[in-house]
Amino acid sequence: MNTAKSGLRRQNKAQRLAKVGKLARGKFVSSDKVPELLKRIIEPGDILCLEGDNQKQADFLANQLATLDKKDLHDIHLVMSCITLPAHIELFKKGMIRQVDFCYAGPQGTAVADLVKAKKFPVGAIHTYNELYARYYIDLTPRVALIAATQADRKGNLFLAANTEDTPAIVEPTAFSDGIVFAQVNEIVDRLPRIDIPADQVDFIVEAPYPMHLQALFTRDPAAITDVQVLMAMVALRGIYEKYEVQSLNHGVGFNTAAIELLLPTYGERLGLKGKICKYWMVNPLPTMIPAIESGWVESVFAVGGEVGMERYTAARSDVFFTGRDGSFHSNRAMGQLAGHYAIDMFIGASLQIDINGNSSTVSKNRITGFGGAPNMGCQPTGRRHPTKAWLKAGAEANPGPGSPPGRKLVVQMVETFQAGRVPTFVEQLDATDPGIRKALHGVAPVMIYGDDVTHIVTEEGIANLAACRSIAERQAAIRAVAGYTPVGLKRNKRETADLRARGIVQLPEDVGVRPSEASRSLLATQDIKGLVRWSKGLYDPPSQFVDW
Amino acid sequence: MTSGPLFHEQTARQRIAALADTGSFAELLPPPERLTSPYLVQLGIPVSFDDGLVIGRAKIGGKKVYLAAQVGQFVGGAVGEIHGAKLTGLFKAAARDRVPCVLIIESGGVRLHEGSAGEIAIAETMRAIFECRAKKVPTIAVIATDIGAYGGMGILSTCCDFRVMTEHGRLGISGPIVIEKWMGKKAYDSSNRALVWKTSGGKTKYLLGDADALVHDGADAVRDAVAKLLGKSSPVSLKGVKERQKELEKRLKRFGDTADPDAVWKGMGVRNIEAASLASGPEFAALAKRGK
Repeated sequence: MNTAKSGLRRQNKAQRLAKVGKLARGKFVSSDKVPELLKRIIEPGDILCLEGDNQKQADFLANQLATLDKKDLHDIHLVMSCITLPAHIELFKKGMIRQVDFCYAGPQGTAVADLVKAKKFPVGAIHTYNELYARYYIDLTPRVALIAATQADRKGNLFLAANTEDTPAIVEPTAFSDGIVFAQVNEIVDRLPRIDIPADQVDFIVEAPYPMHLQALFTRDPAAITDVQVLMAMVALRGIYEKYEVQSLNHGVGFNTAAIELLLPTYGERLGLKGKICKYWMVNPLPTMIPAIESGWVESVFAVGGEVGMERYTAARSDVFFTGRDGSFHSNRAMGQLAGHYAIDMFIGASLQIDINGNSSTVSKNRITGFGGAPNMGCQPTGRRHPTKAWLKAGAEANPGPGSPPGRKLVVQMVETFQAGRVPTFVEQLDATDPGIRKALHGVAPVMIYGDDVTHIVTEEGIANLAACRSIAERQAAIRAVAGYTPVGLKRNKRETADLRARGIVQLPEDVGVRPSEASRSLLATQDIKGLVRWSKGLYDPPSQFVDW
Repeated sequence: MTSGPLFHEQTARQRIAALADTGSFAELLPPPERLTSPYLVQLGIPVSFDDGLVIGRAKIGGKKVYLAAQVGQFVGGAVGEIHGAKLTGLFKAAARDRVPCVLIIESGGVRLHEGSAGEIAIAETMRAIFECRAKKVPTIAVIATDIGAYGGMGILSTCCDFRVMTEHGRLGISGPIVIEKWMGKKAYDSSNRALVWKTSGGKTKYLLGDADALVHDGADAVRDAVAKLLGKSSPVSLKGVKERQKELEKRLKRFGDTADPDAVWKGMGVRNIEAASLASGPEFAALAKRGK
């Protein structure tokens, strides 16, 4: 007997489209009809994907969805990169959601923690980006996807401008499984600059009454970089970048790494490192990279997303950035994350908490943020086979066993020992291991980067080379050695620290040739946003909140 | 392209050290004397051993000066009783000794915790400044940070012969938040940083003639500008004051109803607003002179 299902999804889709009837003219829907359309195309039990990451948001569609009630829509299995908007939280409060699988909840972290406490947050799991996209092709294939694009033409082709980000990773699994793709666009035009999503993968389009929300997430004002961060940046440059000859890398979003970017054309140049390090980047178009790019340090940059204000600059530097035939910037989060996983020598980023085993997390009891791409890049890709100098050197230090890869990706955590408000970064135990949080996550503590994956921790005290540690006890001692005056740091043993220092596992600034007295903001290529604009020869248009001229 | 430390990021003592000839600064009433505010203690607020003002004798380019710098990090550089007494005394000494006085201002005005004492001190200091001017002893105010010169200190700065500013400096009477509070966010949005700087920042003040020099945000540039002005003075006369009054009336008539600060710039002869906005202090001064 033949029990294989055949054409049922297609039939079901046809039924849904039939229900839409005259509500749409072809693919096009007027904005006031959107709530009714959503009622007709979404069914209880659906896996519904809402596009939205930490940058771009299908916010009009999300807001329209949030105008509906439990009686209109219920038992939805929501899948989405980022829970970012108040509208997202509304869906939970109204009890429309049966399950949610997501990656990150930055701005709504507190609201999510409250929902967890109120037992109104039926979470499947918190993922990394690529992990979630991967599941869109396996067991979380969206039935309906609500996405955001910059422009549509009359045929329904979409242009995604600088912010391609998640869109292809959502549209492909949906469109190729008889799902429904509904796009909000900023405007409908006769001719697109380029086609990013072909019309036959798109079912509905609405011209939203307001442009999609875009967060300027990667803009770091050089004016806010401190001397301490400059010191840490100098230590990292000498003790890691220079030592391992890091050629390909990803930088996190913080001020620490912004300081490194701004030191390249000054301090880095003085050290003779130009052309030796930091040539290939998987990173968003960070404004603080402008001086390094203008000074000829950077060969290429591939990005997971755009950055507000960098449009003209990236278009004008098409030898460095990936650009379309129309000349404008292109990003792709899934491919960027893949590149960051397999093809880079080093990931370096910050964290809010690090425990004595080197596990890190940004989750606290009152704020559940989850992950973005950091765990994906900040891990050892054991499927990697191609060697690079840095990879082999780090591998040799780690003394791999007969059953391990010969190389290691450098995974660096760069943190000050205290966060704002004198909250210690180093803790004996992560807040993420809170029993309530673990229970909500089916026993899994939301660890951002596991200690076993971390090769180095950089603080204002110095560098701890965890990869070179030969035991868990040694790793803990190395972490305490750089944990400064935090309770974790105060428990360090003088003799142990001296021994680790003698073996080069713990390095103080002077051990890597950095004089702390030299660490000053005046070493930065520029001290403010205006300087970045000047470095860019007027091509960078910073968002208004950063402009004071 | 490494630059020296930016003047607006330096501390009051670093600014003094950078402006004075090496080793020439001798502090008066220095921190070891512990002249602290008697009021802040009562309110449980931390005190400072210099009460937020560093004063002393120094030389700039070999010339004797009285030199002072307010400490913006301490209660916003606000003027209390001790702070105010030091300020008054310094200008009185300048008048007595006929030695020019240079004040690096970084203050929102009178310290509210000791308001009456502060108000009186500012009034007395103004009197001392006019005494200097009557004796042709130069008085120079340097305004170079975003704390700027506001309230009583804004008024006081305009009593001096000359004002040296950088593009980071701001000069006004009511601060942006106060204006917004009274006039409404529609009239003046204090979170609009571009608007705030275009109305009270160094460039606009230079354009309107309220600042006499607009220089690069570095100690060398500030020192050079101060040194140039040390030999000059602008004595106060009834005729001069009347002329200035007329100028201000004209300005009010011309720009009083203007909501867009760019229109003021255009009215003052700036042609390329974007280029002028992006220009550094000295570049802007050059553009303004050429009327571009």
